[in-house]
Amino acid sequence: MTALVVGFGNPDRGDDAAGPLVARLLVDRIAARVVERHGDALALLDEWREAEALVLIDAAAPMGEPGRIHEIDPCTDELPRQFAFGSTHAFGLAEAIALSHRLGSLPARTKVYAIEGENFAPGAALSPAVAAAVDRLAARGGALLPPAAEE
Amino acid sequence: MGETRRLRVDMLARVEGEGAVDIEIDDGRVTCARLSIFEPPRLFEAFLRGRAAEEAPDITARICGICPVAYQMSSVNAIESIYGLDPGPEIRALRRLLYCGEYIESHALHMVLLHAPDFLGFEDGLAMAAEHGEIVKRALFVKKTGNTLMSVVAGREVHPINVRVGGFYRAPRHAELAAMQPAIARARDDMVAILRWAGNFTYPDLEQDWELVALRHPAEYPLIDGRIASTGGIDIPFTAFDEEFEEVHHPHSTSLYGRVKSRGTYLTGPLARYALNYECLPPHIQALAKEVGLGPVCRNPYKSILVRGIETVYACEEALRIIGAYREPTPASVPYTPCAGVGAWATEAPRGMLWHRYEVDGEGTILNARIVPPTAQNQAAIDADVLAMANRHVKESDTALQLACETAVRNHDPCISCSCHFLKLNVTRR
Repeated sequence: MTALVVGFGNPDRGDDAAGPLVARLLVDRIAARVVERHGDALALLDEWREAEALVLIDAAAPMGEPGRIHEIDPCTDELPRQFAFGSTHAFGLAEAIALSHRLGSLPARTKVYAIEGENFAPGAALSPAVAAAVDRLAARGGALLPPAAEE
Repeated sequence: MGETRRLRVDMLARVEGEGAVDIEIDDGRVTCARLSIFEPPRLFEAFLRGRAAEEAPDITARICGICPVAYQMSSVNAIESIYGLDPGPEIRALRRLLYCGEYIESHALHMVLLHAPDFLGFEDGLAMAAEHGEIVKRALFVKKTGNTLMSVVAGREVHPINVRVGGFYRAPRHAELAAMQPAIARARDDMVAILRWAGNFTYPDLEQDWELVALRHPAEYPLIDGRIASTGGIDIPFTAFDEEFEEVHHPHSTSLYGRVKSRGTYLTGPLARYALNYECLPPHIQALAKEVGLGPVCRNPYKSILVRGIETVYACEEALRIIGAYREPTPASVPYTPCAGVGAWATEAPRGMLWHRYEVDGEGTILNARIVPPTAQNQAAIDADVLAMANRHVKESDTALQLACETAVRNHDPCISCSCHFLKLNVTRR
C-alpha cells in the first residue's frame, strides 16, 4: 500500500503553516510518505498519481471558529472553490483536487483535513487555537488515513 | 425608444488581477467599451528608491508570480548596463535557459487551462478536463516541466532566488540540467500535440492593424536582449525608449496606457514577437506554424494561442540546445564595483516587452526606478479589441456579449497585477 500525506501551506504565513507543521509531526507516526508543499498546487497532481491513499492537510480561511478541524472526503463532498480558475496566480488545493477528480487521477481513498485559521500575516506565529489543532490532528497518527474499502 | 439595460458581472475569470470591463450601449450602439483597471498602484518603483541596486532583481520579482524571471532579467541587465558589466556567454546562456522555463510554464497554463475553454464553449479548464482530459494532462506536464526547470536553475519556481547582479549565486551542475532533458523533450512533443489540437479550433476573423513592438535580435528569437523594433520602423536601443514611447493616464484606470508618441496604440506580446522574429525560428518550427494555420505574421489576437504554442515548442528546443552545450560558469558571478549612472533594459516577458530604467548613485543606491510592464503597453489595444467585439455582438444577449468581451481580454493574457486584480464586466444599455 502506498500512502501519501501532504502538508500544504506557506510556513512563513501565520496559520497557513498548519499543514506543514502537522506533516512534520506525522513523519514518525504514520505509515506513509510525508511531504510539505506550498505554492502551485497543480504540481501535486503528478505527485499523488501513484498513491493508493492520500491525506491532504491545509489551513482553511477564517469562518469564525479558529482551530476547528474540517474533515472532507473530496470524492463525495465538494470543496469550496470560491476563486476556482479565476486567477492565474491562485491555483489552490481545491482546484487541484477538483481537476484531479475530473481527470480520474485522484486516489479513491482521499481525505482532506482543513484547519480553520485566524491570522495569515507574513512572519506571524501560529494562533494558539490553531497550534492546539495541529497537535490534536497529528496525535491521531495513522488514524488519519482513509480506511480501505471493505471487501 | 432606445434599449436600456444594465448588466453587471462581478468577476471575469481566467485573467490575473483585478479590473473591470465597462460597456455602454445607447440605443443599440456601443458608445464605450474599455478595460478599467482599478487595482491600487502597487508602488514598486517607490519601494526601490533608496534600496541597493543589487536588491532590484529580488524586489521586482515579487511583482509577478507567473513571470518573475522577466522582472529579474530586465532589472539585472539594466543594473549591469550601468556598471558596464558583461557576465559572459555562459551566464547569458543560463539566464536564457531560465527564461525558457518561464515561457514553458506560463504559456502552457494560459493556452490550455485559461484560453482554450473560450474556443470550446466550456466555463473553465476544469469543465473542459472532463472531455479533453488527455490534453489537460499534457498541459499539466508541460507546465510542471517549465516549473521544474526554473527550480533547477534558480532555486524555486515562483519568485526565484538565484539571480544576482553579475550572474548567479550558484550555477547548476551539469548533471542537474542533463537530468531535465527527457522531460523537456517530452514536454516539446506534448506541446506539438496541444498545438495541433488548437489548430482545429474555429477562430473569429478579427484582424487588428496595430503597430507591433518587440525586441529583435540578429541571431536568435529574442528573450533577454536585442533592440526595440516595430512594424512601424522603430529600431532603437533600450536607452531610447522614451524617445519613441510615452505613457498616459486615463481617469478610469490605475494602470498607465502605453503609446507610440507619434502614432498611438501599439501591441507587444506573442503576436509582435513572432511577426518581428519569424526568421529566427528554425525551419521545422516555421513548418509547424504553417501546419496549424499561421503565416509569418499573425494579426488575429485569438490566434495568439497558436503563437504561444509555437513559442513553447521553441522554448523547449532552445532549453535542450542550451543544456546540450552547457558549460558551468566558474565562478557563477563576476565581481563588480558600483558606480553612478543611468541604465535601461528590456526583455521579452511571455506577455510582452518589459522595460526597466534605473538611476543609481556612486554607492549603488537606487535613486529612481521606472517599470513599464506589457499589460500597460497593451491596454489601448485590448480596449480596441473589446470595442470591436462589443460592436459585433451588441444585438446578442448579455451572456453572449459578456463572453465575447471577456474573450477579447483573455486573448492578451493580461497580468493586471503587474500593470498596477478581479475583472468585472459592467454593461449599461440605454
